[in-house]
Amino acid sequence: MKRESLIGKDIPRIDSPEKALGRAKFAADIVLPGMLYAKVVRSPYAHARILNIDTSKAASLPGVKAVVTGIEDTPRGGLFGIVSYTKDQVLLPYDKVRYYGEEVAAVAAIDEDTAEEAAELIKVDYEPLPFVLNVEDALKEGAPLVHEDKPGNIAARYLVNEGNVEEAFINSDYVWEKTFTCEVASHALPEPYTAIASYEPSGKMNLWMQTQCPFQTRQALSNTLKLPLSDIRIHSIPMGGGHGGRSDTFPAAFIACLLSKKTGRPVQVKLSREEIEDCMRDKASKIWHIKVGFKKDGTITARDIKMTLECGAYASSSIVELWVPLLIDEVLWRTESYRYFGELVYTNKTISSMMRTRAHVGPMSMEVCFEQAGEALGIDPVELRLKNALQTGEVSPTKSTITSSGLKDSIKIAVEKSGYREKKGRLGARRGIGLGSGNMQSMFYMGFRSGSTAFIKFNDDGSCTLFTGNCDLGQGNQTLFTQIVAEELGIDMKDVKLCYGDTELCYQDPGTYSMSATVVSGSAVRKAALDAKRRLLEVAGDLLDVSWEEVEMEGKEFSVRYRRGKGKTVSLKEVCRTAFKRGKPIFGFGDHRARVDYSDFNMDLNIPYSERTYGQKVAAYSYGTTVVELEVDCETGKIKIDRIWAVNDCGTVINPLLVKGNMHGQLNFMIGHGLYEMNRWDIRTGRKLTSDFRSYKVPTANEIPDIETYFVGKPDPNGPYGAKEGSLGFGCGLHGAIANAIHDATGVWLYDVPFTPERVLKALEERGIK
Amino acid sequence: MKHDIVLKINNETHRITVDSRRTLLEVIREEIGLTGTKEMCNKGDCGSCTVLLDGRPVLSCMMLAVEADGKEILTIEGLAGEKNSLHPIQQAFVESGAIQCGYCTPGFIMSAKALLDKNKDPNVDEIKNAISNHICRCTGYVQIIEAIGRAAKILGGVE
Repeated sequence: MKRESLIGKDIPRIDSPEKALGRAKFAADIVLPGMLYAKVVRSPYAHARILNIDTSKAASLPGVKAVVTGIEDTPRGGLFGIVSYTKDQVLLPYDKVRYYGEEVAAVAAIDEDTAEEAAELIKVDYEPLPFVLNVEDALKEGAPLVHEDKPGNIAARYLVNEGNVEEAFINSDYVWEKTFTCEVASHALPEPYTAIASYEPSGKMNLWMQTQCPFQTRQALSNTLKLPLSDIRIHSIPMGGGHGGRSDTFPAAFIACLLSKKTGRPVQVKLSREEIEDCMRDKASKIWHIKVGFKKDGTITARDIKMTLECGAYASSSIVELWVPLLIDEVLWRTESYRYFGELVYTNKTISSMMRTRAHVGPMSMEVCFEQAGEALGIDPVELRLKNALQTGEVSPTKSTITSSGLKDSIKIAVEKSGYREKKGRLGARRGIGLGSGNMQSMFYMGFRSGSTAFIKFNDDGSCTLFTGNCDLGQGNQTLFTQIVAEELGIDMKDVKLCYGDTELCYQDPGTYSMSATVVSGSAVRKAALDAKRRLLEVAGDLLDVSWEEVEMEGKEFSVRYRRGKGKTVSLKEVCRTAFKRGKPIFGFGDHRARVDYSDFNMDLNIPYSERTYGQKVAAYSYGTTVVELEVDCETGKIKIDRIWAVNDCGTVINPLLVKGNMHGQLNFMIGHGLYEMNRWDIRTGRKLTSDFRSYKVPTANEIPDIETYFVGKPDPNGPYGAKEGSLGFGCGLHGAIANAIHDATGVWLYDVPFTPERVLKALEERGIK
Repeated sequence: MKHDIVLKINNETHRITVDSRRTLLEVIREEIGLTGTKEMCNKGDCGSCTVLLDGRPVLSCMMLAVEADGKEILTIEGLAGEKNSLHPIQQAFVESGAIQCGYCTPGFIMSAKALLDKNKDPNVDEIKNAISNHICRCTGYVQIIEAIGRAAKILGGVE
């Protein structure tokens, strides 16, 4: 009997049981024999020159095994940065510090108490420098420079200019223009960042640490530590959250390596909650100025966007955030003329990186635009969206083809399921409903590391082991890959073992980054399974005396197709054992490079604009729409979201149970970042004031509304089984939906995220409500 | 100062000498070697280090080990049956998709256990209340709430 397909089935995550049992070993659970504990000395200034570091007292404290400083121990010339022209960070600096809490020295000792005591004995002489804490100040003439070699505090610029925007605005019947902002927010990752480095006499540096991109991290550590790439091994361990915040290479890992090399013993660097919030990663603040031209009939003629993005002290993966809003905006709504200019600005603050909710200000601005323009033009805003929504087969301004778009369907279904038309303007006192669409890329170009290679080996009992360089932050990649192999080979998922994210054992992979796991890594896994299957069929064909094309594999049995159920059969185990005896064990090899022909994101400061911005930037785009129903408390300014309808076009849904859970997670993140999460700094010292869960509020179970989820996707030709990114894109318009619902409830417009009670009250007061 | 204390953890008696400053969380993880109980904030804001002390949920990072002297402690490792067979609450968390990165999971499961020990059939608001001091950054809580409801049904023999 043919087995039912595993694609589209609700399958719980395969790594959940060990986590439910408390048996999964996270980084901080690992204790290696002879392991030392490190403590990092951090800058008490937002910006200062390091004059001198006296480590003598610390070094002579009993139990201290090593002290490292940038001046003494950082190999010169190795900078961290994720593209060549943004390599700007010395992972343990020797000249100056650029934000409060930056690493200046570290000690390794026999226990944490000793390390802490020794760290306090390290005396650092600083020359404090003037600092900048927001982009307005950073861009002023004569502002203090975060990096002396970056004039004007500009880290990078990016310009796309298609058609003739100025002319298009002149010829438009209606031009709409607004400025939106969002604040610096946190990933607030549950697991404290921990890196354990163990330097072996052979010269091998073994690492157990959290990273979303093991192969990129290995490369960056090789560059900065000046160690051969092949001498660094990153082991795979479970990770307590990522959400984009663990895709970079961090000083803590670099310091663990320096200390381990110096002592010849394993060294653990574990950060406290406050250290994580001060010194890991944030989400960049953003000023988003947008101008949109319309014809009388509602057709968009032009869009002109200027974005100012704040990266903090170093460019890090914020550089990606410079182009991602373009990738999102240009494929949502059709336009003939298009200009997008982004500027990445340094400030003396915590470094920013990628984050799952990242580009939300862009989609939000268009959602507000449709409401306001619709009123001005006398066109129903829903119709205005449907008229301009990009569809399957269309091409974006910078020439990316959209191979599947469920945008229009997602709007229609969200409107229908929520009763949007009946409720809009009719919910009564202080209640409102709002709509917002979003999208997300499934992988974007990451240069040499854009492809994934998977490998499968069959064991002599008929089970197999899959090797993939991809890792799992909890979204379910391990389950996805196992499901794919089991599907292709017709075997049980429990007979597929997994080795993932280990840089020594696996081939290169983009990592759990740029939404590439399903489309890139998943496709490679599928190809590896098909390759292994072909080899199995060949051996089975020999044993059955027919060519491999005539063999059918079902369950763990091979038979000749036209003799099914009657003639001779051979078992999977027999086939595997025969292959071993022949000295040619069964394996499968699969490689996937996504269809991107785009080779230059053109952010080099020296080339502000060139025509090289053309090309296919992304393999596939997922779309979706959310509708929000909420209540505004006009006394307190508090917003209570009661219900969300979420419609997701992620192509084929491989595992609905997991995708739904990831959708809830995205909405939870978006609610937090939309309503209350924001970081604050002490303007006198440059110290972050929101470094714990008491001062930085994240949503709890009490803040979660009722959520209804729907799928509308059609299979996309680029993903395995037609699947695309499934967890982020659908929800990227939620802030637009919230802004529109607040307007529906109160008549006020809010343009600054998060919509905190203070901001809501201020807007209400300005309109004389309250 | 050192103290000799007795901790009864998951039905096993441990006679240990601890420094007065050590928290219960540190002792459970580092001295006893039960690393299923997790540290997230280390100051009582996140719920991830929750264990049951004489049946009551407590934050083990906010309690000194010496305060637990003579008490019965249940950690996540003590919940499973023989040969790591999943407890109904653990089973419900797995089946409902309530575990993503899984770092906060042990804390949630321990609070769910405390809730279901005293309330066999909690409604959604009671479940939300019982876990409202816990932080999860992946799941959005929906499937966690479903899991606790499902666990109540399994324990009550409905499922």
